[in-house]
Amino acid sequence: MTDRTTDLGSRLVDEIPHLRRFCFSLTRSLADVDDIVQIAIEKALEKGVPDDVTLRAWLFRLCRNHWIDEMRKKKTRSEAVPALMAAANDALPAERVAGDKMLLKMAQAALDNLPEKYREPLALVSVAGLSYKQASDELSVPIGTIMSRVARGRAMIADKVGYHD
Amino acid sequence: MTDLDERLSAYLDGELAPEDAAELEALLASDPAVMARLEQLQMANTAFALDAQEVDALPKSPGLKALEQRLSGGVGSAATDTVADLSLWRRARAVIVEHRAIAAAALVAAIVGIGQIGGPSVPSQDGLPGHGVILADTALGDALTVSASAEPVRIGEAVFTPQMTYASADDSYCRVTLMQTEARTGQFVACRDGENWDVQVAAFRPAGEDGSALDYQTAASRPFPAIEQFLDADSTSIPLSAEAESALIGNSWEKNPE
Repeated sequence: MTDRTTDLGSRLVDEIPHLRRFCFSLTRSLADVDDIVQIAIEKALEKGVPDDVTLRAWLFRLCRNHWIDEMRKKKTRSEAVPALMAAANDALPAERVAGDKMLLKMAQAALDNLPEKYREPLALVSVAGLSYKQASDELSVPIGTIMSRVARGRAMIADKVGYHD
Repeated sequence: MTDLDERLSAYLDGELAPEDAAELEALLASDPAVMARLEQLQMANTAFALDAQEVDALPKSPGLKALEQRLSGGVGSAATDTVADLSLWRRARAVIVEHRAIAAAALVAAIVGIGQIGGPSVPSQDGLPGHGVILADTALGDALTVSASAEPVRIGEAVFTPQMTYASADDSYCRVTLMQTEARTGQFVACRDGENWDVQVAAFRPAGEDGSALDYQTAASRPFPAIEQFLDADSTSIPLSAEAESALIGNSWEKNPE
């Protein structure tokens, strides 16, 4: 490998946790997450990364495009959630923290039922860390729409979980 | 949803113009109901972000794992060169006075990625189960129990690399482990206590001080004084050989009968 390729490889490895989180927040499908991440990385290796893009944002775009092209029709969104919760309970020290475990459990149903039109901008902003402008570019919608949908998504989760006490 | 929700949500994301943010902050200061709504939206956002982080605990698919190993080949080979050199640590002569197990464990817990590292804001959490004990059935506990020195283990966003194993003054086995995330580089000593690992001391520095967060060579070559001092006081023998360490791991950390 050339130094440039080696450097890209190292940077891609660093991005894997972020990609997995983003893909899961987008797809809610454990069965699909790693496949999408793998394909996105392989595409980046094969085609290279344009000089004028941020690597993470570029990879998110590859993931999202693949999801749209190949996976969205499969209707697999919630199949893996029970397995996810069980595995997380075994492996994560964080899951021993009762308060947050309860919060996550309460939020699970709200997250599962969040419509995609709100999930996508929320994933881009809250998980991927994109600005509203970047998210609007990614989704090809006005910034005002991003602002509205992000707020709407959060409001739906908050109101369904009932964070009122 | 209301226009207020949009403004509060945008405020959480830092997307309001300064004058709009100031106006909203004045409203937040004067109206408890608005502040309560802000907290609700923040909690919803935290739930969304935390949910995404749950995937960290799951093993990667074989295909992705193979790809990751191929891409990180350079990292792995570098790691084999970073088994700690005890002579470095023995240069220090002072003895660490304060036993910091609980504080150290809290730092380790934060690094392990229960929410604070590299991701969106989440509620503050504190400590590992058992106040300073890394339980055997956690990912980190398992890594300490079964991984050979110089064998990197990725847990969430952190990479843990046991560097050496030694017998402590009280005849328990201890491991020195390097820990790296995007934000921090650290090193800690944990000693075998039954099935678990008791954190003795830990030290951290921002990753930026070492350049690349995953630069094993650089990170390992710059010692942590607190760790050096602790080891000078605690270790009574040279590090176990790879063969002896392997035998211990294979024997569930029980001494082989002579």
